[in-house]
Amino acid sequence: MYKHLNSIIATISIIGLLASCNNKENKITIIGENSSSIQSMQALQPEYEKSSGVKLDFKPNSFEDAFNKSNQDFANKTGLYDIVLQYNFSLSSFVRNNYVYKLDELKKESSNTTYDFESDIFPNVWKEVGYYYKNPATPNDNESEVISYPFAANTMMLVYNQDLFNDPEQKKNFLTKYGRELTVPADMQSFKQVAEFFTQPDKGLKGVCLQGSTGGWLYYEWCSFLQGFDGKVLEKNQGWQGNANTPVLLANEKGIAATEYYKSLKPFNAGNFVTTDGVEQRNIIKKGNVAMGIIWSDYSWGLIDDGNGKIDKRFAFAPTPGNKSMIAGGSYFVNKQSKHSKEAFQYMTYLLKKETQVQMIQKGLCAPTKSAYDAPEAQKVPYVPALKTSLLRAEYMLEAGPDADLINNVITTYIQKIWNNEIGVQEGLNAAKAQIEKERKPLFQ
Amino acid sequence: MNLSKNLWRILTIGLLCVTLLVLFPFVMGINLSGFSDLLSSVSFLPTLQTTLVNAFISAVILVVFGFTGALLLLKVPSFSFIGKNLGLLIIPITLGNISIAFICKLIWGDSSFFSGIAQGGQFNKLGFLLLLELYQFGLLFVYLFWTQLQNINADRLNFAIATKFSFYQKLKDIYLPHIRNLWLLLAAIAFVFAFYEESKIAYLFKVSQGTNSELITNWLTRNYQTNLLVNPDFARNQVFDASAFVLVAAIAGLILLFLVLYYFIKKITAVKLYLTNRPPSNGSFSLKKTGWLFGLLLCIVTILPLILSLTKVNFSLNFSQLGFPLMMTFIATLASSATAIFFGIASRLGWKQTLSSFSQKSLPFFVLLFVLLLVPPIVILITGYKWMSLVGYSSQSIIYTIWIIGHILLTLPVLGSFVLFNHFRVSNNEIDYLQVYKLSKTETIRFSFFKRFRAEYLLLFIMGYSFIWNEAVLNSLFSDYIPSFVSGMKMLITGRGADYDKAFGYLLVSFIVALLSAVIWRYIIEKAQKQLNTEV
Repeated sequence: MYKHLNSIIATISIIGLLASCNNKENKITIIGENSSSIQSMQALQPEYEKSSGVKLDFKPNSFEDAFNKSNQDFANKTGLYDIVLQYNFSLSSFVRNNYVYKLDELKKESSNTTYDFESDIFPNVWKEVGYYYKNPATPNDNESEVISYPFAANTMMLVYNQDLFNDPEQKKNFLTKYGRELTVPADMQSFKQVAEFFTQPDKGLKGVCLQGSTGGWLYYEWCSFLQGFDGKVLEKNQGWQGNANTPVLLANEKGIAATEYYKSLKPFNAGNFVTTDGVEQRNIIKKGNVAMGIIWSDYSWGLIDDGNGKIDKRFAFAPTPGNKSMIAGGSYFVNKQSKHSKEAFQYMTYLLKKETQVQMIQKGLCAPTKSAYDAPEAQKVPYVPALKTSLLRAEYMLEAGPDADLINNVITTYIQKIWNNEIGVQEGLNAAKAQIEKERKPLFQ
Repeated sequence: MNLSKNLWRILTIGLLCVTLLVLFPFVMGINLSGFSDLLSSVSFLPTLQTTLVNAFISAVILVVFGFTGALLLLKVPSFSFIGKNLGLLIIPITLGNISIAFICKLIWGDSSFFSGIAQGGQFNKLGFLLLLELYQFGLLFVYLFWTQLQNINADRLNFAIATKFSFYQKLKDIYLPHIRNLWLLLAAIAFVFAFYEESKIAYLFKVSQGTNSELITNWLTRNYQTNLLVNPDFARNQVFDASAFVLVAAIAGLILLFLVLYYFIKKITAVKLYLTNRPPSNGSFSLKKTGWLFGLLLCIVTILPLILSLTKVNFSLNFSQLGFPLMMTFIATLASSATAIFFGIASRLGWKQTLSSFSQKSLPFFVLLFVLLLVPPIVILITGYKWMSLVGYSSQSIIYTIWIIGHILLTLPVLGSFVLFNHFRVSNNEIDYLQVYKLSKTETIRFSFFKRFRAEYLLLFIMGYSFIWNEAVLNSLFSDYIPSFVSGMKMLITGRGADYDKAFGYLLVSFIVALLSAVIWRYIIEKAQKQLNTEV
């Protein structure tokens, strides 16, 4: 027994000794959700480490883990992560709680003198994911300042199955049925018409695959349709704006029209709706029996990439129906507890250079800079033209204040009930509005 | 003698105090005034109620299933072909929550059966969850009840045969009294796991308020995430208040379950009236045949999902990332098992009378032991971050040590109570006898515990390995330093980086660990058989 005990103690000691050889090199630790964004950064890791002499330590996590870890690191001031890749709904909390450096502060300690790439960043995207009130204690919508650089510019796009759209028989049947050519839908009416047309139970086909699950999927997608009807959830101009008294518009006539439209797609929908998130939607679409989907831009790479470096050419992309797209994405947040803030800022500026951005687009990044999309190498990625068009016309649609997750949850709850015929459209939206109005107020105190 | 007894007690209490110390930041963070906000929430109480009812029903069904299954296997001897292969029934528990959910999705995800459940109501989803729990825990329970029934004194069984006991008589006077303690232990474990179920239902059904499918752990996590957007302190305060309420409800539910089962078994075994007293028919052959067939069926049910899932995706084994955590889990399991065994011995010798069986007298002790297990996982996560901010992340050796200590403390309730339950077999007379003959502590421990419970301690190790490997809270907290199987799997089956082929590489490692556990267990049984044959 004692012999075994000695062996155990010896093993633990050896591991301890090996582990304590943790050298103190110049290292930046980066945490974010495991996605094509962080993967595109990882792909350039050897190149950057060689040129800069700075070691990069990536910590890709599930969204939930990355969100918890970064928040706890900030709150407990443990300084584990130098750069936090987070989405726009975290910005408000990070700035209000003084967790992150503002861009001006980082620039002051940097040796860089030019920031040419700044004029290349989509201004609408930057304003939405990287700006906040100049004085959060007394917020004024006319006084904002830049906080951070965006790492990704996301939006939702229409993905469609080219095999189905190019099928001569389908084209002929569509022409016969609707008296017009089968084209990729550009407005709400034609989207529904095409979804209806491709719902062909005898062939096992469905017109559309909607994301109806909790976790933001339903909320974001439904907002995309609400935007198509010119609606809004709250009366404001940026996601991070707002206070306890911001009017809730949810249940107005645009909201009702959008929800009725959304529900009317139910007969054409593939999948279980309430369990369909981005991953499940992607898996369903990949099977090839669905004509269309509204998909997140940062899920597009996973849809077309077969994992072996080949592109699945069955799928093509277009902006979402209507004349607007939504802005989402996230920023590089530099931790105030970081001991390598200067190196972190240097690294961010490297990532935002055009040549770097072009390389990252080819690894799945939805780049926040405009010119990178025009590079011939980038144009080879099937969704790039549609993504650029979408980002250029993109506007605020999604909530990003302290009440963002509450609004997301309440809307998801009631739209699911509406979808399942447990409550009427008007009644459901009124109930959602009332709950949001009641529960968001304490979050601003 | 008193000095010795007090020493054991001090050691046990000391270990319990260290375990409960983990919760210090939680206890200090509770604000009772927050309860009124909680009670006014539209969803909190209904979700808690659903969770309590579901946990209670699941626990009862799982132990009834386990016991019934064991009765059907009664005539299958331990050292028969089927008996030795019944060790396969430990595989599902070693797979863990996230693997079972993923296997289920691979096999059934596209079926209309699953679609019907996913689109159905709360009852369908919880019913399906119960099916998964029957696979995950129920099969293990069958095995544990069966091994326990195999240990019934041959004289008692021979007496029952000689006096022509009916099956009901045997059930009432022999089987039930014999497995009463195990029944209560397993019911408590099933209750806790069902109460804090989170990942299977969340992954398979994407639980939500809109589909009325949330359980309390999902509710706590969702609200914590919502409040994090205000700030982490606000989120922590809110979740601590809610968790305190949940903890009290869980303790009350567990006590109620214990009392209901305790008095139910007591009442049945105390009844003098016999429903039938006919001599057993000459049906031993058919009982034997039924047992063999049922055993075979259980083995197939255990293995079949693994085989089916193997056919569903392309995969490549990925040991490069998981080799280190596998080794760390081994070290942590050794430490946790040793601590649980020490705890089991110390408490058995320290409270000889109180801890001789599950009873009303021992109930407070077990509730205290289970408190850590009854704390919502989100609280353990937040307090874990808090402790780490105090201890610091200065070197990896400190991080590894804390990770191991954390697992020792988190597994103590389950592993410790399992050891304690087995130590019930050391009778008070035996302890008194050894003390009268003034055997040293070392000799007492060697004779009464180490030699007798070698197989049980091995099973403890296997269960411990599974718990630590599949643990989601502590492993997630440290996953940037010690890659976590659960965090890795979660990352590969949900979210933007989802990749089922890579996830299956992870799952395959889990399969290998599970099969290895079953193989080792079978080897031990065969060795025991050979030893027994030599002695005969």
